[in-house]
Amino acid sequence: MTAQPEASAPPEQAASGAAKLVVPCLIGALVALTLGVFGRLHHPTGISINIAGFSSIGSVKAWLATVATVFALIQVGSALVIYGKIPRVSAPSWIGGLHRWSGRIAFIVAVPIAVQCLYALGFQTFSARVLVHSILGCLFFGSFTVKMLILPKRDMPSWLLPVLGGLAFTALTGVWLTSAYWFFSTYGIKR
Amino acid sequence: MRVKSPTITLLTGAGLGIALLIASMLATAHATAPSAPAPTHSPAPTEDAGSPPASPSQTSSAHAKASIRATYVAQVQGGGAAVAISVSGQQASAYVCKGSVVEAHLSGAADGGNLTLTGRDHAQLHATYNVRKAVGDVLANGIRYAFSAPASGKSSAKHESVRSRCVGESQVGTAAGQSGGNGGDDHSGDGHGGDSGHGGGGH
Repeated sequence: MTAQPEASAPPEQAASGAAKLVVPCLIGALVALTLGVFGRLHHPTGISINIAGFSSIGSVKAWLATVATVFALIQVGSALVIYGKIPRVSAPSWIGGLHRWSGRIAFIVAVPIAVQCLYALGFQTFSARVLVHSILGCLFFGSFTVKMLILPKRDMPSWLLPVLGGLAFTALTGVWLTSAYWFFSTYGIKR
Repeated sequence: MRVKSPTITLLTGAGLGIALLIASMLATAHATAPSAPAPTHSPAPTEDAGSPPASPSQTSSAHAKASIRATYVAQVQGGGAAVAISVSGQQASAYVCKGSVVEAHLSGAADGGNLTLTGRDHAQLHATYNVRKAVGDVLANGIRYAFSAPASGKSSAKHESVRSRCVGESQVGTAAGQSGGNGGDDHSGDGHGGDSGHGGGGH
C-alpha cells in the first residue's frame, strides 16, 4: 500500500478513477451473479404468465428477444455515428436521443424475457447451447448495469463505454442466437 | 440531488423485473393450487419407498403399490401436452405427447411408489404414484412438464396402447384448451427447459 502513491504519477486522479470503476463493476458482477444463482437455485416452475395471441410463451420470448436485438443493432449503428466512425455521416442532433431510447427499449423488452427464463426455466447446463445462453444472459444484464452506472461519470478512459457497450451487445446477440434464432430455426417462424 | 437518467433506466428495469416476478409467482401459485398438491416440485418424500413404512396405512399401501398395474393419463400442468404412464409391477413406461407428436418415450423402474424413468435425449420422469394417481414432472426435449395424472380404469402394458392414449389425450387438450394457458407449452424460446431441481440433464 505504501508504494502505491509513488508508482502512479497522478495518484489521486488514478485512485478516484479506479474507485469510480470498481463500484459499478462490483454492482454489475453482483447483478450477473444474482441472476445466475437465482436461476440455479430456484426450482423452475415450467410455467408462467403468457401473452394472448401467441402460440406459446417460447414464441413470445423469441419475438421479444428479436425486438430487443433489432434495437441493439440500432444501438451499435447510432453509437458508430456518434463516435464518427462512419465516413461521410455527421451525427444529426437527434442521434443521442435515438441511442438512448433504442437502448431503453431494448433493455425494457429484455427484462420480461429474463424473468420468464429465470422463473420458469432457470440457469441450465444440459447442452452447450443452453449453457452458453444461461451464461450470456447473466453477462448481458451485468455488463449493461456496469455501462449504465459508468455512463454519467466523467474522466473515464474513452475506450471504456464502447467496450462495455460492445460487451452488452455481444452478449445480447449471443443470447438471441442461442434462443430466438434456435427457436425459429427449430420450430419455424411462427407466432 | 439529481438522479441520473441511466440510473432511472436501470431502476425501471429492475422494478419491472420484480413486478413480473411477483406476477409470475402469483400466477403459478394460482395455477398449481387447485389440481395437484405439489405438481411443480420433486416427488413427495413421504412416499419414498426406500425408507421403511412408518405407519400401518403406509405399509398396506406399499404392498398395494408393489403390484399396481395401472395407466395414468393426463394433460400436463398448463396444457399443451399430455403424459401417459403405464405401470406394471416393477416396470413402467411413459409417453409425452404434443398434438400427434410423441415428444418422448421413457421407461424405467416403478419402485413401490416412485417412478424414475429415462428416455432418449436426456428425457427424465420423476413421479410418485399410488392406486389413484401419479404426480411428478417429466423433462422432454429440454422442457419440463409437471403433471398430476389420475389412474384410468383401463390398464395396459402395451406400448402402442399407451402411446395412442397419450396422443389422444394431448389432442383433446389441444382442441379444448386452444385459448387456455400455454405455460406447459413452453417450447423454450431460450431453450432452458427446466428441471434443475433434479439435476435435469444438467450433468
